[in-house]
Amino acid sequence: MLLTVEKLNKAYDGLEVLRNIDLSVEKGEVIVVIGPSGCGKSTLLRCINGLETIRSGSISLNGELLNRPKTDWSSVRQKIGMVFQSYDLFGHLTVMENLLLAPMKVRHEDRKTARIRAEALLERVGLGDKSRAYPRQLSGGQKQRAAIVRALMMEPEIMLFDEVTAALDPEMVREVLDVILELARDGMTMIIVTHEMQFAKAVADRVVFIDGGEIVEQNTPELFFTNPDTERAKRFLNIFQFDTPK
Amino acid sequence: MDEFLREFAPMLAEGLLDTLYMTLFSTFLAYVLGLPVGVLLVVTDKDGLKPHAALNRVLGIVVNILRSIPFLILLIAVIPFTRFVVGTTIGSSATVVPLVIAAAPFIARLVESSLKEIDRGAIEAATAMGASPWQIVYKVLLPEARPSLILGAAISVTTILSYSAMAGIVGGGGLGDIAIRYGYYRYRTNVMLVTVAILVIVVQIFQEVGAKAAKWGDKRL
Repeated sequence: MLLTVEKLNKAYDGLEVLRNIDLSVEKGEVIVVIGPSGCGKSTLLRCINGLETIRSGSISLNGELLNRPKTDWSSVRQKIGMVFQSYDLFGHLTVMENLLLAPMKVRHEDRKTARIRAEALLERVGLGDKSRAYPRQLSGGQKQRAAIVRALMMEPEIMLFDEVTAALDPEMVREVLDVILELARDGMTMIIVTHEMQFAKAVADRVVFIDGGEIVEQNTPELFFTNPDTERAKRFLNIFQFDTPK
Repeated sequence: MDEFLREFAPMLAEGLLDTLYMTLFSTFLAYVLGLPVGVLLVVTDKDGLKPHAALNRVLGIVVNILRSIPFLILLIAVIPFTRFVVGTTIGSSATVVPLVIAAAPFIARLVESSLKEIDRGAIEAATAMGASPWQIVYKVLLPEARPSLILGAAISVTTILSYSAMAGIVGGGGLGDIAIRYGYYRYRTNVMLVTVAILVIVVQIFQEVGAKAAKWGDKRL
């Protein structure tokens, strides 16, 4: 098991946001987390790479317990890539410098080797000609693809995607999702929080439905989207069924 | 006019150099102290990279105390300390001491507000890649805030310049000193006007250079 979350509880100032979360992710698995806004999906991702502290429970990566005081978060986070809704590229750096910063400063790689990897990755996501552009010169979709490459530069074992298309114009959603789909085909382990149901169906090995801070249902995408086990999942999916009114 | 120039030009030139020396040297030293304090205020804040309530509180209080003392009073109050550091209490080098003490906390607050403008997302993205708090300060926080920091520096220089003129009251040297000695004590209004004109021009230059530098260094827009 690459990642194991057991009995995770998280509260903000006494308000419970995650309750008894049990989730395990195998190497190469693609997990899609869906659920209504504010249900705790993003918080779960942020707990996994230590951006949030948890109240109780455990998170382990490769069998190594993460939520203990002496965890070296710097080295753990290098194994967990994360991409955010708002891209969060460094505005004062070119695309290439954005990609090289962490490999050179955190991993102490030399510029040449990092650069070779960066160029190959940029080429793969269709940004081969943008390495000298500043983030302000890119479209939203290009920024998000660059942000994905930035996370991949650390050669993570698992990638976390936190609603990465939510801030994009509709015509740019596809180019970003295609990049993620391709990563899935290459066997990257991923946890994807998204509202794009068609994409979830296409990419997921397993769908995790969270509502009210707890995992209500875990199912295969085929079953989840056609015949979910739980009433709450059915109700949630109905919201997205504009085309088949009842 | 010729006579006026012959009489005062050398003195005004020397005064201008003194003023520039006091202002720029004080600004430099005040940044040596104020920049790290400003960074620490942000880093130790409760939402900061390394929250430390006690240190944050102490720094905040020290900064506030120093900032609440009017400069004219500070100027006189630190005279014993100035004598201890510089060996004299008159002249431009002596003025540098109170200027630094007054400007450093002001600069700390300016730096703090510049750094707080930085989008939390960029900091979080760096954290998520495994960067340490100090790597984030050097590689993300300070570079991202550079345009705002440069504008802050222009504000600091002009503020310190006007403070330096105040030091003329206690024999601080520079253009302020000349304005007070000739313009006020000896009723040479024309000398006063010329010094003020020179000060206005110097402030304009600092402000203009600062704004240009900030814009030139801004890759974000």
